Amino acid sequence: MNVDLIFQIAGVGIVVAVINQLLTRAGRDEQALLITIAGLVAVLFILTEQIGTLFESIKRIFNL
Amino acid sequence: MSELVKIIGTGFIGGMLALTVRKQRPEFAVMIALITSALILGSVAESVGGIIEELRRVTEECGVDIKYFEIIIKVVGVAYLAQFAAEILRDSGENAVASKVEAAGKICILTLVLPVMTSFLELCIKVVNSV
Repeated sequence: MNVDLIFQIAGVGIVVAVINQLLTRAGRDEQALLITIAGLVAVLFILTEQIGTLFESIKRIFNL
Repeated sequence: MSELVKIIGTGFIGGMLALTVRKQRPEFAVMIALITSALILGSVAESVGGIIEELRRVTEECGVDIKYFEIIIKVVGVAYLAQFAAEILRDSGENAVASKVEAAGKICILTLVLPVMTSFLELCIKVVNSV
Protein backbone atom coordinates (compact mmCIF):
# COMPACT_ATOMS: atom_id res chain seq x y z
CA MET A 1 0.00 0.00 0.00
CA ASN A 2 2.79 2.45 -0.87
CA VAL A 3 1.06 5.69 -1.75
CA ASP A 4 4.24 7.29 -3.05
CA LEU A 5 3.68 5.62 -6.41
CA ILE A 6 0.58 7.74 -6.88
CA PHE A 7 2.54 10.86 -6.04
CA GLN A 8 5.31 9.89 -8.46
CA ILE A 9 2.89 9.48 -11.35
CA ALA A 10 1.02 12.67 -10.45
CA GLY A 11 4.35 14.50 -10.27
CA VAL A 12 5.38 13.28 -13.70
CA GLY A 13 1.98 14.27 -15.06
CA ILE A 14 2.15 17.80 -13.63
CA VAL A 15 5.75 18.31 -14.78
CA VAL A 16 4.89 17.13 -18.29
CA ALA A 17 1.85 19.41 -18.38
CA VAL A 18 3.92 22.43 -17.32
CA ILE A 19 6.75 21.71 -19.76
CA ASN A 20 4.19 21.22 -22.47
CA GLN A 21 2.71 24.63 -21.84
CA LEU A 22 6.20 26.20 -21.84
CA LEU A 23 7.23 24.55 -25.08
CA THR A 24 4.00 25.32 -26.90
CA ARG A 25 4.30 28.98 -25.75
CA ALA A 26 7.88 29.02 -27.09
CA GLY A 27 6.61 27.69 -30.40
CA ARG A 28 8.37 24.29 -30.30
CA ASP A 29 5.40 21.96 -30.62
CA GLU A 30 7.35 18.83 -31.64
CA GLN A 31 9.49 18.97 -28.47
CA ALA A 32 6.28 19.32 -26.47
CA LEU A 33 4.94 16.14 -28.06
CA LEU A 34 8.24 14.35 -27.39
CA ILE A 35 8.17 15.40 -23.75
CA THR A 36 4.62 14.09 -23.41
CA ILE A 37 5.58 10.75 -24.93
CA ALA A 38 8.66 10.50 -22.70
CA GLY A 39 6.54 11.17 -19.60
CA LEU A 40 4.02 8.59 -20.72
CA VAL A 41 6.69 5.93 -21.22
CA ALA A 42 8.21 6.62 -17.80
CA VAL A 43 4.83 6.30 -16.13
CA LEU A 44 4.06 3.13 -18.07
CA PHE A 45 7.22 1.50 -16.70
CA ILE A 46 6.08 2.15 -13.13
CA LEU A 47 2.55 1.09 -13.94
CA THR A 48 3.27 -2.22 -15.68
CA GLU A 49 5.47 -3.36 -12.78
CA GLN A 50 2.73 -2.54 -10.26
CA ILE A 51 -0.01 -4.16 -12.35
CA GLY A 52 2.22 -7.22 -12.75
CA THR A 53 2.61 -7.68 -9.00
CA LEU A 54 -1.13 -7.17 -8.57
CA PHE A 55 -1.99 -9.87 -11.10
CA GLU A 56 0.57 -12.24 -9.57
CA SER A 57 -0.93 -11.85 -6.10
CA ILE A 58 -4.48 -12.31 -7.39
CA LYS A 59 -3.43 -15.39 -9.35
CA ARG A 60 -1.77 -16.80 -6.21
CA ILE A 61 -4.72 -16.04 -3.96
CA PHE A 62 -7.50 -17.31 -6.26
CA ASN A 63 -5.14 -20.01 -7.68
CA LEU A 64 -6.35 -19.24 -11.17
CA MET B 1 -10.96 -0.54 10.46
CA SER B 2 -7.63 1.26 10.13
CA GLU B 3 -7.12 -0.55 6.83
CA LEU B 4 -10.38 0.93 5.56
CA VAL B 5 -9.33 4.45 6.56
CA LYS B 6 -6.06 4.00 4.68
CA ILE B 7 -7.91 2.83 1.59
CA ILE B 8 -10.33 5.73 1.72
CA GLY B 9 -7.41 8.16 2.08
CA THR B 10 -5.62 6.62 -0.87
CA GLY B 11 -8.78 6.81 -2.94
CA PHE B 12 -9.29 10.46 -2.17
CA ILE B 13 -5.65 11.33 -2.88
CA GLY B 14 -5.76 9.48 -6.19
CA GLY B 15 -9.06 11.10 -7.13
CA MET B 16 -7.87 14.60 -6.37
CA LEU B 17 -4.58 14.17 -8.22
CA ALA B 18 -6.35 12.67 -11.22
CA LEU B 19 -8.73 15.61 -11.21
CA THR B 20 -5.93 18.17 -11.15
CA VAL B 21 -4.16 16.55 -14.10
CA ARG B 22 -7.28 15.71 -16.11
CA LYS B 23 -7.72 19.08 -17.80
CA GLN B 24 -4.22 19.43 -19.27
CA ARG B 25 -3.16 15.81 -19.67
CA PRO B 26 -6.18 13.41 -19.58
CA GLU B 27 -4.02 10.31 -20.21
CA PHE B 28 -2.12 10.91 -16.95
CA ALA B 29 -5.44 11.15 -15.11
CA VAL B 30 -6.31 7.65 -16.32
CA MET B 31 -2.85 6.46 -15.26
CA ILE B 32 -3.33 7.85 -11.74
CA ALA B 33 -6.78 6.24 -11.53
CA LEU B 34 -5.29 2.93 -12.66
CA ILE B 35 -2.44 2.97 -10.14
CA THR B 36 -4.78 3.98 -7.32
CA SER B 37 -7.26 1.21 -8.00
CA ALA B 38 -4.44 -1.29 -8.43
CA LEU B 39 -3.00 -0.36 -5.01
CA ILE B 40 -6.40 -0.59 -3.31
CA LEU B 41 -7.25 -3.87 -5.04
CA GLY B 42 -3.84 -5.28 -4.07
CA SER B 43 -4.32 -4.52 -0.40
CA VAL B 44 -7.89 -5.87 -0.38
CA ALA B 45 -6.81 -9.04 -2.20
CA GLU B 46 -4.53 -9.95 0.73
CA SER B 47 -7.46 -9.99 3.17
CA VAL B 48 -9.63 -11.91 0.71
CA GLY B 49 -6.93 -14.58 0.72
CA GLY B 50 -7.41 -15.11 4.46
CA ILE B 51 -11.17 -15.38 4.05
CA ILE B 52 -10.75 -18.02 1.33
CA GLU B 53 -8.46 -20.14 3.51
CA GLU B 54 -11.04 -20.04 6.31
CA LEU B 55 -13.90 -20.99 3.96
CA ARG B 56 -11.84 -23.83 2.51
CA ARG B 57 -11.22 -25.26 5.98
CA VAL B 58 -14.94 -25.08 6.82
CA THR B 59 -16.04 -26.75 3.57
CA GLU B 60 -13.50 -29.55 4.09
CA GLU B 61 -14.82 -30.21 7.59
CA CYS B 62 -18.48 -30.42 6.59
CA GLY B 63 -17.63 -33.03 3.93
CA VAL B 64 -18.58 -31.04 0.81
CA ASP B 65 -16.53 -32.00 -2.26
CA ILE B 66 -13.67 -29.47 -2.36
CA LYS B 67 -13.65 -29.48 -6.19
CA TYR B 68 -16.76 -27.31 -6.39
CA PHE B 69 -15.36 -24.85 -3.84
CA GLU B 70 -12.19 -24.42 -5.93
CA ILE B 71 -14.28 -23.61 -9.00
CA ILE B 72 -16.26 -21.01 -7.06
CA ILE B 73 -13.01 -19.34 -5.97
CA LYS B 74 -11.70 -19.31 -9.53
CA VAL B 75 -14.94 -17.74 -10.78
CA VAL B 76 -14.68 -15.03 -8.12
CA GLY B 77 -11.09 -14.33 -9.18
CA VAL B 78 -12.01 -14.02 -12.85
CA ALA B 79 -14.92 -11.74 -12.01
CA TYR B 80 -12.61 -9.66 -9.78
CA LEU B 81 -10.11 -9.08 -12.57
CA ALA B 82 -12.60 -8.58 -15.40
CA GLN B 83 -14.50 -5.99 -13.40
CA PHE B 84 -11.26 -4.19 -12.49
CA ALA B 85 -10.19 -3.92 -16.12
CA ALA B 86 -13.65 -3.02 -17.44
CA GLU B 87 -14.09 -0.20 -14.91
CA ILE B 88 -10.71 1.33 -15.76
CA LEU B 89 -11.47 1.17 -19.49
CA ARG B 90 -14.92 2.68 -18.94
CA ASP B 91 -13.29 5.39 -16.82
CA SER B 92 -10.98 6.31 -19.69
CA GLY B 93 -13.94 6.51 -22.06
CA GLU B 94 -13.49 3.22 -23.91
CA ASN B 95 -16.98 1.77 -23.38
CA ALA B 96 -16.74 -0.57 -26.37
CA VAL B 97 -13.49 -2.12 -25.18
CA ALA B 98 -14.84 -2.36 -21.64
CA SER B 99 -17.86 -4.36 -22.73
CA LYS B 100 -15.61 -6.67 -24.77
CA VAL B 101 -13.45 -7.31 -21.71
CA GLU B 102 -16.56 -8.08 -19.67
CA ALA B 103 -17.81 -10.45 -22.37
CA ALA B 104 -14.44 -12.23 -22.32
CA GLY B 105 -14.68 -12.51 -18.53
CA LYS B 106 -18.14 -14.06 -18.79
CA ILE B 107 -16.88 -16.58 -21.34
CA CYS B 108 -13.98 -17.51 -19.05
CA ILE B 109 -16.42 -18.05 -16.20
CA LEU B 110 -18.62 -20.16 -18.47
CA THR B 111 -15.72 -22.42 -19.41
CA LEU B 112 -14.90 -22.79 -15.71
CA VAL B 113 -18.47 -23.68 -14.74
CA LEU B 114 -19.18 -26.04 -17.66
CA PRO B 115 -17.91 -29.30 -16.04
CA VAL B 116 -20.01 -28.64 -12.95
CA MET B 117 -23.09 -28.14 -15.08
CA THR B 118 -22.51 -31.26 -17.13
CA SER B 119 -21.96 -33.41 -14.04
CA PHE B 120 -25.14 -31.98 -12.53
CA LEU B 121 -27.15 -32.74 -15.68
CA GLU B 122 -25.81 -36.29 -15.79
CA LEU B 123 -26.88 -36.70 -12.17
CA CYS B 124 -30.40 -35.50 -13.01
CA ILE B 125 -30.65 -37.84 -15.97
CA LYS B 126 -29.53 -40.77 -13.81
CA VAL B 127 -32.11 -39.93 -11.14
CA VAL B 128 -34.89 -39.63 -13.73
CA ASN B 129 -33.92 -42.94 -15.38
CA SER B 130 -33.70 -44.80 -12.08
CA VAL B 131 -37.31 -43.85 -11.14
